[in-house]
Amino acid sequence: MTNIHWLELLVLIGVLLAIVIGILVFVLTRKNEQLSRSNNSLIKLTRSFHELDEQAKLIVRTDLELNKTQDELDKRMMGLETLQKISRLISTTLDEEEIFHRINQPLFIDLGFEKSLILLSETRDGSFVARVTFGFTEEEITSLINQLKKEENLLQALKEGHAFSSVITPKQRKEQILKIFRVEHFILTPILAKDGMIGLVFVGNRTDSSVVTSGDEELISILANQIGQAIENARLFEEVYRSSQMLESKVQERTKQLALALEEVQKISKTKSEFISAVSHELRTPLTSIKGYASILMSEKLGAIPGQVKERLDKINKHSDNLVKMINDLLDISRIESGKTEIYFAKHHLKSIIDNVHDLLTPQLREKNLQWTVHIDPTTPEVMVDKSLIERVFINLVSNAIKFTPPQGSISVMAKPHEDLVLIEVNDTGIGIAEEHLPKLFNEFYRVDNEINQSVKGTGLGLSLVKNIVEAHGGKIWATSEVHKGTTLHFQLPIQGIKIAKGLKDA
Amino acid sequence: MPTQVGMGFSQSIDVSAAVYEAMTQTRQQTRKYKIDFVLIFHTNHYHPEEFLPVIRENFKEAKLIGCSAAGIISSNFVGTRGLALLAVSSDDTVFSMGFINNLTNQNAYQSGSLLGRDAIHNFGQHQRKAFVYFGSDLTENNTVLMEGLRGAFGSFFPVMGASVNDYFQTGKSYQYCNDYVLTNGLVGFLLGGRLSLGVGNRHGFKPLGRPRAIDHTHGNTIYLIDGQPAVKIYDDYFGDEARSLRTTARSSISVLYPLGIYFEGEKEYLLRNVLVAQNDGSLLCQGEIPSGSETHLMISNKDACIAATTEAALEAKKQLGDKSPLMILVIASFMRFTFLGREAFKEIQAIKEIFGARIPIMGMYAFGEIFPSQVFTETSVVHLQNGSITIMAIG
Repeated sequence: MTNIHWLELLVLIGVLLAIVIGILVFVLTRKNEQLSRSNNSLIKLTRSFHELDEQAKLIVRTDLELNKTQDELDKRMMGLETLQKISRLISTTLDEEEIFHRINQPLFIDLGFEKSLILLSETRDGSFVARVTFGFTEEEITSLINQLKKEENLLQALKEGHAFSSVITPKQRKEQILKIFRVEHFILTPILAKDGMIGLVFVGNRTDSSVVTSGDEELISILANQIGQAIENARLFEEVYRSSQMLESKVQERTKQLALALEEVQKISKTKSEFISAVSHELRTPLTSIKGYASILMSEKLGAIPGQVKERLDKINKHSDNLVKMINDLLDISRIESGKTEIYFAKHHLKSIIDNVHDLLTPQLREKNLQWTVHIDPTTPEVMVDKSLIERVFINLVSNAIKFTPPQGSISVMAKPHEDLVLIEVNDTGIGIAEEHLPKLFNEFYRVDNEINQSVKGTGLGLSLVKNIVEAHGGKIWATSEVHKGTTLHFQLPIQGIKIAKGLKDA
Repeated sequence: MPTQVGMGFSQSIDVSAAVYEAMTQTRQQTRKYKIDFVLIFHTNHYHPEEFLPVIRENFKEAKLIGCSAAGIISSNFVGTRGLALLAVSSDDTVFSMGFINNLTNQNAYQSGSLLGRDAIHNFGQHQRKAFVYFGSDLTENNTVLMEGLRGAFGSFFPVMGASVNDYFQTGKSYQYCNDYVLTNGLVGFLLGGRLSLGVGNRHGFKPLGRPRAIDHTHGNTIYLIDGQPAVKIYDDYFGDEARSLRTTARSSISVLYPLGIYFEGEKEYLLRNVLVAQNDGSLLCQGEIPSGSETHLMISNKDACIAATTEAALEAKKQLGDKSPLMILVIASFMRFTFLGREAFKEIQAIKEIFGARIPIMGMYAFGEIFPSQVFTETSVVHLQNGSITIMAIG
């Protein structure tokens, strides 16, 4: 019994052990599976972690590239903005000093270089003068100008328009420039004008953190061109200004000379007028006597006179009349020139004046069978003139027209308003006047040399008197003509007249 | 008398013209009020020996402090040339100045302590609000220097500032306090009285790629990352492009992809720009690096940077509470200016959008921004930041 119990107990223990072992195997297997899964997860996690880190590397490299591009872009934009500001500033002045004053502002610093220099070749020996400096001491500038002067081949290359920068310059040349300016990165470019190099622009940075780029090269090259252009404009302006000053001074001097000459002429003219006036007065008295005695003799009150004597007396009388007319004309010219003539302005219709003249000259017109036409624009207003003087103008002009127009010809008078003037023309179909005579036509005693003038006596004072009268009215007169076709005398008068008419000088 | 703030700025090449222009603008805004405090930032195109006497003569009774900077920030301009002037006339605000000459790594603690005590000396019993200082070069010794300052002000006092020297560009920096002009010193002003302060700082960079462990550092040099020469992190990511780190100081890779150091609980990673990769493969950084920290390569874009500026401005405004801002002082990283390029002024526009278009803004671009980590509280740890913008609103 006891053996059976022990056996059963052993079996039971064995079964229990088997169960426990089974459970343990099961649990261990599960744990092992879990561990394996965890290990796999850890491997995956580590891999992901490393992958993320690799991704981070990609991200930062891409970011770095983007930042570099952005930096370059920012620098270019900043440079361009600054360049634009500098250009605007220097292009709005024509004063060379002011150009550098404007550049010599913090703006130049905004271009982003630690050292900047603008040198101009201003001295006779061709060495440079610093006009804009930034980042250099005075001693450094003096030293580099002296060194630069010695580098003839470098200067020659610059004069030929070559620019240099630490980006592309060959090693030897680069070292040459670095030795002078003592920077690591640089741009050296000539300032060129029409006549060649007038200066240099230098910019540079000492450290590797700020290398210059090809974009900087372009920027500085544009800046140098603009400075060159601005300086050239300023110098050109200065040259023009100086020339104009010289010209002005010459004009002033000449004007002074002319004024003196005019004064002299006026003095002479006055003396002449006075002389003519005096002589005319002196001549008129004996002439009146001569004419009077001739008239008495011709009237035969003192006894009959032979036909031949009568004929001679008639000539004396006629010549005396001519002489009186000449003297009167001279006196009138003299009076008008000296401002002694009283001009009585009043409103008159030109038509009535012209009609009066026509009435007066009708016999002569008929004698030569000349056609007479008048055309006055209906809008022509009344004109403020001295009627008797203007009548004399018309009488003179129409008389001349009659004189020089062959029989069967025609004479016309036209008038029309234009702004505050009235334009008048006296036209004939006469023999005409050669062009070379026209400028002298209104001179005193000037007579055109033609057949009619050779046969008909005249004083040469008529047109001069006409001119004086017209000018005394504030108007002007001129002639146009074509030989064998006719002549037109044009004159214009102010509709409102002139307030104070003192004759030629003041008119 | 209400607080009056006047700001002037000039870019004129001629120093006399620049000073005249900046002072005229300032005077137009402050009218005839007596000026109590003048802050000046200038680029190295101007020398303090030339312009300081003129400004001192014109603002005789004012306390004057300033320094050279890599760039200038004003309400209407950001750039690398200029002279900016901020003048304050106020009965509510108290200023006290301090300066220390000949700063070295050996005397950093003592310098910090003396600078703080110098500023406290004439401050009286007024409520202290913050201390702002500008140092010639704080990339290696700022932590020790800060310990000295904490010795003077206590551990829970807000301190901000900027490291201004740029050995790779101008090689010289100026700091000045009243009539004293220093070239390797520290100047600072303690600000207090009945005023409110709000400060925000952000950079906007995010980590990229897997984290790496900084194994060995000394000061501002990282020797080993993941057991390998530190420069390998850049070699891995950029291949041949990483060469520029070895040949060019502060290369574009360093500006675009700084290292980020993780700090538990901070909103943003602490940035470190690499100044140069040295021959032994170590990275010389613009600021100290804690050994054993976790680092990432960092990445950002212009929009994210400007959004970070908005966040910093909002943070400053939030801290200001219901007080109206009178002026904004900005200390931004020069790397940031380089990074943003033509869009750098958008940061100022972002600040104006938060504080209003007419708010006077004056600031500088620095080579290390000292700011108490991301959240400005009196218990914050002070770090020399890189690539960040600090906005201080005074109301």
